[in-house]
Formats: sequence, C-alpha cells, structure tokens
Amino acid sequence: MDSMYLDNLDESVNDERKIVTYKWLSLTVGVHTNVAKQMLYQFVQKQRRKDCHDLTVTYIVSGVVAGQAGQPDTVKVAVVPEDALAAVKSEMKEVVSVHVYSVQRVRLNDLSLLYSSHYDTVKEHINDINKYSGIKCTSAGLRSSADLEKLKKGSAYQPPVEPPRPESKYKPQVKKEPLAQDNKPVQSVNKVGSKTSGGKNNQIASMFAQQAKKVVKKEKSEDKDESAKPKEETKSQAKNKRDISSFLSKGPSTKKQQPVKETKVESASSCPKKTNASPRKSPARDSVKEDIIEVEVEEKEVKMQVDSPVKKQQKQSKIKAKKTNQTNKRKKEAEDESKTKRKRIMQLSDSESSDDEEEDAEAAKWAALSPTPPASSPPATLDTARIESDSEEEIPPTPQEDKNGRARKRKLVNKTFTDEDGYLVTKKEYEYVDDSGEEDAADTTTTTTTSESPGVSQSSSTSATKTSPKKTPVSPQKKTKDSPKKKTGAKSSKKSHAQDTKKQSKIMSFFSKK
Amino acid sequence: MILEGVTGKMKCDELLSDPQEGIPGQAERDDVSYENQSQKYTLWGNKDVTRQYYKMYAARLEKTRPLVEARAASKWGSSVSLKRLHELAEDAGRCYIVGTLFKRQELKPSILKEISEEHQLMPQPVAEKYVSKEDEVILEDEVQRIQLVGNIDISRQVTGVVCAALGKEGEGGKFEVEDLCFAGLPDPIKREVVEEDRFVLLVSGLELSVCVDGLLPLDLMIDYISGQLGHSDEQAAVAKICRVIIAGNSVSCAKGDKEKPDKVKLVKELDDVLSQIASTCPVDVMPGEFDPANHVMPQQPLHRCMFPKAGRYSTLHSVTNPYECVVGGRTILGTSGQNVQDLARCSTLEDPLDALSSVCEWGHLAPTAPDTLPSYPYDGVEPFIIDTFPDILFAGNQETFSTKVLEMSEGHKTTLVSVPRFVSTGCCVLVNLRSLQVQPLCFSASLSDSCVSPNSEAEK
Amino acid sequence: MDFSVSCDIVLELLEVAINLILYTREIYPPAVFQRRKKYSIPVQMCVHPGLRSYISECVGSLRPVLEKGEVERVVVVVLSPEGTPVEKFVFEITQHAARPHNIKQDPQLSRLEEALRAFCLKLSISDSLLQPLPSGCSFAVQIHVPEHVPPTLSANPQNQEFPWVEAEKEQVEVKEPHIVPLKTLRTEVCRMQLYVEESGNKMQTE
Repeated sequence: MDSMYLDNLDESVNDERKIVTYKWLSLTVGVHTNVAKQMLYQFVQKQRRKDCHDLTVTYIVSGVVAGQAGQPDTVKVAVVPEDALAAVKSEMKEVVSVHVYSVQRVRLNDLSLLYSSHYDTVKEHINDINKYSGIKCTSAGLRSSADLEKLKKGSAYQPPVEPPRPESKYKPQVKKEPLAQDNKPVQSVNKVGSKTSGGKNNQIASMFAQQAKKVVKKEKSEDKDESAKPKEETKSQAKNKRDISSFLSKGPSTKKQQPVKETKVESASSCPKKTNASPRKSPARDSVKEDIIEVEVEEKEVKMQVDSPVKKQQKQSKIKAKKTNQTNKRKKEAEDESKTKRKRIMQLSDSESSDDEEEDAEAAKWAALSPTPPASSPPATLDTARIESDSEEEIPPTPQEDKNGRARKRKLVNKTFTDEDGYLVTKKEYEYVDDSGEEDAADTTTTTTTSESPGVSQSSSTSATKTSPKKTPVSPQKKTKDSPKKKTGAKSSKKSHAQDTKKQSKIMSFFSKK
Repeated sequence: MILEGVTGKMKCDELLSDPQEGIPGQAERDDVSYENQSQKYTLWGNKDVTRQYYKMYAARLEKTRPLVEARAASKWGSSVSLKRLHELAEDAGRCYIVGTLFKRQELKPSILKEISEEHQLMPQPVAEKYVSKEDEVILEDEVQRIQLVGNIDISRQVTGVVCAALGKEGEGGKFEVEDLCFAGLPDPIKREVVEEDRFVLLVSGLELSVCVDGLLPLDLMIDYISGQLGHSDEQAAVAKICRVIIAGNSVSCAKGDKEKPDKVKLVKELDDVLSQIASTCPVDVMPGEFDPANHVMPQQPLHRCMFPKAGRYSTLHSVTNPYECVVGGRTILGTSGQNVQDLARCSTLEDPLDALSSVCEWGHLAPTAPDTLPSYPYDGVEPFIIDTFPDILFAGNQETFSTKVLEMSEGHKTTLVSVPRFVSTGCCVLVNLRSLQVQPLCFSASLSDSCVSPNSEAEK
Repeated sequence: MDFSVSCDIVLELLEVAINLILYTREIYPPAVFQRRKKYSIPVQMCVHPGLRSYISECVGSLRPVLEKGEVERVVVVVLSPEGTPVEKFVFEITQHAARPHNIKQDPQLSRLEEALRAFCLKLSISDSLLQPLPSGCSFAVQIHVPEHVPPTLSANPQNQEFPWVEAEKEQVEVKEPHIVPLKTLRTEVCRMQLYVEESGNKMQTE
C-alpha cells in the first residue's frame, strides 16, 4: 500500500498533469484527510530528492494574527503557494499548523483552479464528504424517511384554522365534533357507490354529518370530499349512463342527496354574507356564522332532498365540490361586505360568476323539486347569495373533452333568473357547449365525472344543468321531462322554456347518436 | 480563544511528514444544549395582510408603556410625575410623558408623495439616507401627539421607539425635553451556562449569486468546520464549534446582479454547501433580505424543499429572521441585518454597533418596522419587543466585523457582534459561549492578500 | 441536421477557451482578467472592453458556419513578436446533430458541464506541457472550413463589420511543429479535440 499511492500520485501529477489536492486524494484513495496530507508531503519530498523540481506545492497555514487596537486576534487560515509561505508565516503572531494543500506540475497563477480541480470529486462524494475528516458528529444523523414525510407534511401549507369564537350563539363546536367522526364512514359509503335505496336515513344522517363537517372544516373535508365526489360521481354517472332504470329505483339517490345538501348549505352560507349589513369583523366570526347557518340549512335540506333526482344530486355534488373549494378560498380571503358587493359588479364580466349562476340556477331548480314548501323561497335567496359568495373564488373552468369526443366550447349566453329581491336578473354567462352546438347536460354530467378537478366537473355540470333545466344525466331521460314541471319560482320561466326546447333537441340528438 | 493551547502540544508542521502507520482518529463534535426560542417570529395560520399597521403600534405602546414608566420612575424619582398628553397644560410644570416617537423626515419615501408624483405634482428625490437637518421628532400616545424639542439628539432617534420624555410643555405647544428614557432590556434569566469552551460560528452573506472569487474561501471555511484542515489537535479544537448560524443572504446579493442568476442552480449549490456542513455540525440557516423567502419581517424559514440533500440531516435547521435561541445556556438573538441597515438609513446610527446599542437601549429589535422596514401587520402582538435579555446580539451582512460588550444600566452585559459579509471579507465570527469572547475567523485564498486584518480586507 | 444546440455550446466553449489561452499563456497581463463563473467554476475572463469585444465578435461570427456544422477546425494562433506562429491551439470540432433522447439522458446538462469543466481545467494547466513563450506575443483566430464556405461567409451581411480573410501561409504554418495533445472532449452534442502545435524553437527570431 505504501508505495502504491506514491506511484498513483506520480501518474496523476506528472503524467496526467492533474492538480492533486489533499481532499481529492483523501476521497479518491479513501484515507483519512491527515494521512492524505502526509502522503502528498512525502510524494513531494521524494520527487525533489530525485531532482525533479517541476512540482509546485501550495500549503495551508492556519494561525493567529494579532488584532488591531482594541479588536480581538483573528484566526487566519490561508492557502499560500510555496514561495509566499514564509511571508505569511511571519505575519502571524502564532502559527498553529501548516500542511500541504495541493501538488501540481503547473505554476498556479490562479488559486481558484484549486477549487475547480476537486469540484467534481466533491460533488461525487457529497453524501459522505466527511467520512475521512478529522471530526465526526454523531448527532448528524440522517433522518428516516418516515421523519422526512412527517416534516414534509408539517411544512406543507395548512390553511388557517379559524378558532371558534365563544360568543357565537350557534355553538358550532358542539356540532362539529360528532360530525367529524361521521365523515369517514360517510365517505366510504359514498365511495362504495351505494346502490341501496334502503338505509337512506342512515345515509342522510351520515351525509348530513359529512356536509356539516365539510362546511365546518372545509379545508380538510373539501379535499377528501372532492376526491370522493369525482369518484362517486364517476360511479354514479357511469351507472346512470348505463342504467336508466337505476334512476327510477333511486339507487344512488342518497349519494346525490349529499351533494345537493352541500350546495344548499353553501348557498345558505352565502346568505348571511349577502344580507349582513355590517362589515365583517373577522374572518373567523364570519366563517363560523356561515358554518352555523350551513349546519342549520343542512338540517332542513336533508329533509328536502331525500327524493331529489339522481342527476340533480350529481350536479349538485360537483357544484358543491367546487363551492367548497371556492368558499374555502373565500374564507381565507376574509370577506367583506364591500367585497360581496364587488362580486356582484364583477359578475357581469366574470365568467366565474356565470358558473355561479349556473349553480344557483341549478340549486334553485333542484330546490324547487323538493316537496317541502319553504323550498321555493330559500333557493331564491340561496341562488343569488351563492352567486355573490362564490363568484370570487371560481376558477374559470377548463374546457373539457366530452367522453364522446366532443370538445366543449365556452359560449356567452344570457341567463335570466330571479334574485333575492325578486328582481329578474339577466346575466351573461359562459357555459360549455358541445361542438354540435347542442347543450348536452347528460353528456356533460357524464364527462364531468371523469374529470379530475372537481372545479372543472362542477363547471361542466353546472353548464349542463344550466343548459337544460332539470336536465338529468344521460340515463334518466324520463326525468328530464319531469323536471320542467318540478321547476318553481327560482328560475325564470323563459329560461326553462328555452332550456326545455334545447333539452328536447339534445335528447333527440342523444338518441340519434346512440 | 479557539486555538489557545493548540500550539503548545503539537508542532505546527506536524503534517509535514511521512504518513505513519495506523489510522488517525476523529475528534468528536461537541454537543451543547439548544433551544429554539423563535416561535413568536413564525407566521402560520392566520396570515392576514389586509390589516392596518396601527394595531402593531398600539400593541407596541401598550406592552412597552409599563416598562418605560417603571424605568422612568426609577430614573427620575418621585419628584416628577407621569402625565398623559391630554393632561399637559402650560402650568403642568416638570413632568414626563410616555409615547411613541415619530420622526418626520422630508427625505423618507412617502406613499402620498409617490401618488402625487403620479399626478406630476411634485417629484420625489430618491435618497439613500433619510436624515436631514429639518427632521422633527414627535411624541405620540394613544390619542395625541406633541413635538419634542430641546435636549434631544434628533438624528439618533427613529420612528417607532417608545420612550418617556422628561421636560415641560413649552411655547407653541412643543414639549421641551430635558431627558429621555427608554424601555431597555428585561432582566436576564439565570441559566446554567456551559462550563467548557464551546463555540458558535456566525457567518453571513455567502451570496452565492455573485460569489466567484469567494468560492475558494468558502470551500476553505467548509473544510475548516468539517475538520479537514489543520492537524489533529487543531481539528480537536475546531470540534468545539458546536453550532453554525448562517445569518442570511446565502443565495442572493444586494445589488442587481449583472447576469441574471439561475436561482435554481444557486439553491442547489447552497444545498450542497449546507449538506457538507450539516453532516458535521448543527447548522441554522436564516433567510436574508435577498434570499428566496418572504420579504417582510419577520422572514419565515427557507422552505425545506430547497434543501433536499441537506434536509436529510437532522442537524439542518431552517429558522426565521430574526432568530432567537438558547445555546449552552446563553441567549443568542440576531437578524440578517435589515433592521440595522434601516436604522442607518433613518438616523445617524451608521456603525452597526451603535445601532445595536440603541436597539438594546430601546428594548426593541426593529423600531422602524413597519414604517420604513417592511413588516407583517400584527394585531395585538408585537414580536420585535425584546423580551429576553440577549447574551449575544448579532446583525449579519455588515460591511466589517466588529464587536463590543455593552453594559446596561443594571450592570448586565451583552455582547454585540457585527457579522461581516463573507463574500467580500472571507470572515466569519466565533463566539465562545462560556466566556462570551468573540473572535473573527478569516479565510484567504488570494496571492496578493498579505494583510490579515478583516477591516482592511473589507476596504479592498 | 440541427446543429443549433451544439452550436451554442461550442461557441460558449470557444469563447471561454480563447480567454483561458490568453490568460494562461500570458499573452495579456493578468490584470486584464477577472474571474467569472462558467460551468460552475471560476474561470479567468477578459474584462478589457476592446479585447473582450474582439473575442466575442470573433466567436459570434462563427455562428452561421457552426449552425451548418461546417467548421472543421478552429485555431488560435500565438504569434511571436515578429509575426510568426509559435504555437497553435487547434480545436478540432465534430458537431453532432442534437438528438432529443441524447439530451434527455442528461437533463440539466450536468455531465456535459462536467466534461466542459475538465476541458477548461486542462487548458488552464497547459503551460506545464508547453515551452515558455517569448514576451510580446499576439494572437489570431483562424478557422478551417470547406471550400464553399468562405464566399458565403464574406457575403453574410453580419460579417461585413468583422470580415474573415484568408490567412496567409506564413501565419498558418508552424516551424518545426511538435504536437502536444491536450484534451479530447466527447459529449452528446460535439466532439472536440484540442492539441497544440508548437514550434520547436520559439525564442529564435527569424
């Protein structure tokens, strides 16, 4: 071993003309750094004894230099070429150590070549760079992958969790906890794509729980729900497509109830925002109020939505998913009354608002479907409120490819509806229209299930719903016929008529394509 | 000092010899107790930037007022009484009032002037320093304000300092000041200090974006900390460095870069640098003014995702700016230098040690926040008030190294350290936790570099 | 054949190489040079505006020829004070058309950069392999191209400011040439061989 490294050094320095630093040697040969320094020294001595004076050497000098008046002494560590060694040593009050830094055949005008010479080797050995160093640190352990995962999650952005205000009379906390527990079982229920029409009560309760939890803990549940929803939508829609009769059996109705409820809840939440005259004091309070109202509305809605048609729920679920996303964002933005007002103004030119309106219209329509009498008025308010509350956060939906391959196009359409004050409002909205020019709610609903982002699915679903009021997904064709009848107050009749006629053409086209 | 006694045992040219049989050992990196006390600087959860800043000032006054009143009472005795501004009348006599200072400076950039500039009413000159002879100081409390004149060095005051002013109301509704009193620092907490020599290395301004000439000195510094340089006794002495604190500006530099730097590549380089250090020593990296972190104070830690290699080591800690920690029983508090630089802009406290002394006297780390130093709008809390007595107070990214021991009125001492930019000086700072001695550590890789003192190096 | 990728890389490398040759062979005093970060390592680049612009124009005007892959050799000739070549740094360039899958294997071009670093490093230590130069030398850049290229080069409007003229024979041939290979660079985008033809007797005046 002893002579081998000398030969290797000879080859590297003399033949390859490498600049050999102690670090390069230590890492390449695999020896302790101090040994590498000594090896270099020995090599130099040997070469010089052989009368080979082509080598130049650089040294590291470390020592203490006297400080100027009042200032403490400086510890100086310097790389010096051999010829400057004596000068540097003489400057120091105390020389602590001297050793070889590098050996090379070339005269170094530029010391930064020393950096370049071992740059690649250092990068190569970056993971165990200090294996051969003079100091080892036992506390510098590599984190386990579980640890790293935990840290990654910890440092990932967590949206602010609004602390519940004690003065709130609605006692959100009371409701929050039991709901939270129900979330998981509910989701699993949804994911299974329950065909069971029975056990509705359980599902209603669980859906209630899920929605409430969603409302309350929008951030977490939203993610879960959104992932769950597309899945369940996919399942349900896929099912619907294939099995028209399933609609009649109201198999997946429970699932859909959930999204309906959610949308209702969302619109309910937007209500207070709209009607609150006083500026919001804090986001927490507002969101809590929203939560409370949503929870309350949920209770109502659960009863209302039991018999909602499949399609409505599917769309609602998508809307809900989108809305939760949006409401969540909104909450983060600390809403203001002025903001709400701004939203109204913005809606005219805002494509997002068009989706809102779609959703509102949709929700209103579906609300009207419910047998409960109060349904007509809340949906109206819910619609407008929802528009205002959600418009801000809506992301313009990305155009989607229809499952049948028809590309969606965004088209500016006039939508008319009644706002909370009873005024007939016409707004220009973008909605997705098929290439064929028909508004195919059925297709959109099916396509939306396959989309990845709930927002997108919602938009397409909302467009679907908008284009054909009460338009059902592909399978429940009969339902579409029923839906116009069910429609009440919330949407303008004009719209429904227009949509009816459109829908009819759509249905026909659907059949023809089939 | 770190290398004391090393020369006694081993000859300096120990390694100028042939390799011996046997494998040399490795010194063990010394361990020391550590506690991160910077929780109040972390912004998480409710980041609401739509608030107005008055709440921060209100919190500051509310929290500092009792401290100032207590100190003023003990300083000026019971012969003079505390009066609120609204109680001041011509015949109030000698009294003292407590409030926040506001310094009206013509040269300070003002948003109103900027807007008027947009309407081309009056152009605003761009100034490096906002100090001028026409500056005025006004004391404001919760409801009123009064201008201060008299025995007050306006050029050394800044906006945002809570103080008590002793004097009497003079003509023209101005308060004639005799003396000022500030909050000062709280009493130190008795802690168990480490008994042996343990060192903390403070370095700042690696500035990888412009570092070309400084690459070899940086390499030397990393090697030195890792124990690659020197002989075994020296490495054993270096093993007493138990913590490295990198105080900001590791990636980017102040001036606009000549060539647009590839930040991703630079962050990767930084990751490699930190990986090398973290594998051998606990290291805390603070964000600096121009690092990829949020701009407002307090700056949040650089994100973990930037350091995939170095982050695997449990010794790498990404911390906030300002940073407060307790190492070996000593409280270390410091920033990446923004507060000191802002003080230099707004006043004549240009020497970083002067600025740090004033910081201690005022008991507030960054009084010019949020006026001229961008800050997060806190609501009801004021994290920049110094609530723990710092044994070591440092400011990074200064032009030169300097240090001073400041003795506070109660006899408590704190060590002030100005950490220079490594890219231009090649210097970092060693602090002995036991004795609170401070020593610069310089790395040189230049042929022409014969003079050693860090001050002259910086002048080059 | 798309040589645009290799063209950019070769042009940058040529500029760095010319600067390094001028620094290492001390054709210009070291004060004219400052370190710049190229390929993640510090290299000495010229900062004198006149010299810097000359080098960049030289290299830049090669762009149209390189883009077509028609350059066979680029030569940096070191001329003695009398004007005779004493050293020739010959860059034999073989460009490869950039094939996407080749580049993809090295997404950040890190391997390429490593190869370029090694090239620069070798160039920097070249003076250990060569005989010392007399003082007062100057340099010129020559390219060897196929027959059909010079007319197009001169016709190129961009080259009107900076024309390439046919080199005189005296400036091309080195007396008593002695070849010293320096480095061969093999990457996905190009293959470059660098060797030096040095005159047997540099100090001798004609």
